[in-house]
Amino acid sequence: MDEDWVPYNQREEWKDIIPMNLPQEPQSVCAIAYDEKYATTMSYFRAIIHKKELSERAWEITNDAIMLNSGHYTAWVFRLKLFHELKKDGKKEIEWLNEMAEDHPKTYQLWHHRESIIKALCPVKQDAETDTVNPEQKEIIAAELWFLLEAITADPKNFHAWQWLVKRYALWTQELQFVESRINNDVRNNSAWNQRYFVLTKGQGDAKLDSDVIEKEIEYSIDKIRLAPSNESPWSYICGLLRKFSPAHITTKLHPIINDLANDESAHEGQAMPVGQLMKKSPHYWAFLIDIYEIRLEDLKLESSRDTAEIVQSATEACDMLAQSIDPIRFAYWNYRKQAFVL
Amino acid sequence: MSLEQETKDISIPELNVDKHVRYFKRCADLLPHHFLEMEASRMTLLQFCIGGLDILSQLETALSKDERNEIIEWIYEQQVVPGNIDNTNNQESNKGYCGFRGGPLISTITPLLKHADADQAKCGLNTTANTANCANLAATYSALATLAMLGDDFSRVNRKGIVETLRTLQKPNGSFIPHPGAVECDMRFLYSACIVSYFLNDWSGVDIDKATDYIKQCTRYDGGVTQEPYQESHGGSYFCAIASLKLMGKLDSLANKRQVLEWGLRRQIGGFQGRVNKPEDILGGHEYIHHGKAAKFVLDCQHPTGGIGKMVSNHPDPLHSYLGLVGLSYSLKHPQLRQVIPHLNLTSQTSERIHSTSVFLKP
Repeated sequence: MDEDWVPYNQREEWKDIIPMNLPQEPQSVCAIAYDEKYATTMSYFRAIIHKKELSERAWEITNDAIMLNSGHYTAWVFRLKLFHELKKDGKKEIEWLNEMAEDHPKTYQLWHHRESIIKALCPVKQDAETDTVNPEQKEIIAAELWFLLEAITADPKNFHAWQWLVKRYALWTQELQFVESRINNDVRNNSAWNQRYFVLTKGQGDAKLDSDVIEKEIEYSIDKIRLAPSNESPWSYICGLLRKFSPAHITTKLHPIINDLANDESAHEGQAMPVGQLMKKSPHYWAFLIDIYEIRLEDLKLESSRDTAEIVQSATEACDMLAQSIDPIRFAYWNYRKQAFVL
Repeated sequence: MSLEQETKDISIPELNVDKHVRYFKRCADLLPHHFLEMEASRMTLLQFCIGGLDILSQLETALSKDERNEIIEWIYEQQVVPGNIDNTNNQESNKGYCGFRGGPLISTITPLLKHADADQAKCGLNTTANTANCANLAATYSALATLAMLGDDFSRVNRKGIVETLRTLQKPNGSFIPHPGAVECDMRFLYSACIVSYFLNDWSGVDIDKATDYIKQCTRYDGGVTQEPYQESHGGSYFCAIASLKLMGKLDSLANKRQVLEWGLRRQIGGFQGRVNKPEDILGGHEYIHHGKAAKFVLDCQHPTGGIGKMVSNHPDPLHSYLGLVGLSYSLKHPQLRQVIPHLNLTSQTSERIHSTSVFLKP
């Protein structure tokens, strides 16, 4: 225990408070072992929260309660209420949160609390597109983005931590640049790919994309698939994007390029095999082909049986390939897909 | 290939039933200091411990009837029932605050009613309602699930209070917050709201259309599901979303069911990335899982002193010990393992029992 810690029951300014001790529970149910400091502090905290006392000392004890137990959700709710009621300095609160984040990086409430404080510091006008914040607020937002970035460098796969910030303050251009640098750094960073989708659609469920944007994304994804054909992220990204915004592109644009890649005999620097060979070892390549065959059969439904037979043949071969050698852990699934073609 | 054949071909370690039983019993009693940040979630830890014993078919043997009854009493002591806020003439109700707390961390109200002494009486706390005496949706779910496992008939559950509280916790976008004033709202609490409504056999606290819409918004381009819109797909939110759709009878509203199923199946690399749980089963994917490899992974994660860790040679904790057993209940044939019904997260034995004993569910 820190040496200059004065227990709450020995503090002059807390003398009027009757602590609410927890009665001894008659039985122990998932009880958690704790010490005297925790017990005393929580007894005083309980008393103050039940009094609903909105005071300076209440503000201070929330600090101790959260420090001792950062998962104490009621303490966070109470602190936010006090922040607004006592008109506390938001910048100081952010500094306090910076310190808390070092010791408790995984506490959900901490990040939500941060979000509330930044929102209070930098309100945006409704219906305004951009630039509704003044230069000082811009600085706060930039610092926040930087902090969140720093806070997750140990775990570079939590980009959604600042999605709200990007969306609220329309930081799309710089976020796209950042995402590209992360994908360049690690082409398998799925969190970065997800963020690319978020930026492209500006976090709108009903976004519309122009066809030149779509074609650029095909080109971009193909470039990354070429680097590592077994990497799930760009496959999911481009197929998902096209399914939603332009399904026709899957057969007319994407499929021919994928075919070219599968026959590409050049190799990348540092890769032992030509791109085409790596493609043919990728489960995503074969799974993509199966989906294509399925679409083509659907289109051909009433047409000649000779084409149909040919497609069925290719499709069953692709299913066998996956079940038997490329992706045997999912053999049961690929066999099931195969049945659909044979029947 | 059948389940038996598949597990036969791989050499897998034994399931240490006795050690796991002792582990869950130990945790159901007392947890070490480093669990302190979970103090507000004791009810959830309890659910994992009791759930683990249930899957291992040991609930009735590992805990005596008296012990089970004591736990039932403790759970009911955490219930917040309808009343007026504060001990005043103010008629403002505590709507939004009802259900179960994760433990007596904040409020000692119910125990005080039993153990009132002079000092505590001075605090003026002999009331049932106060904004500090606040239930939590996740704890409410854990409490009902645990009561069900322990054979309680729900006769002391205040259904009206919980249903009215649910109504105030649903946000305009369809998601749920866990308690009034909370900033977080996501798929975990949406599942809690659905399963609680199922237990209470009363859906009037949930706007099903809005909840379904929220799940659609969280279904990502790769077929996975997220906690909040636009985030990255995650196994935990995937389970919560699919199970919620099943409970609401809305599975057919998933437009891209195949992509969703494939996302789940692609997570298997031996064990599963994300959580070992099986929403794929709800989507009819159970038969496509490689059970031998899944079982081997979980069994490899067993700790020598009981319990299961997140990964091989990790320290065990109640969450992963429980989820590991849930996974095994699908992938390993073992005489002592009871199978879990995925969307209910209960063994079939417990589910059957509540349908004949629960005051809300019995015919």
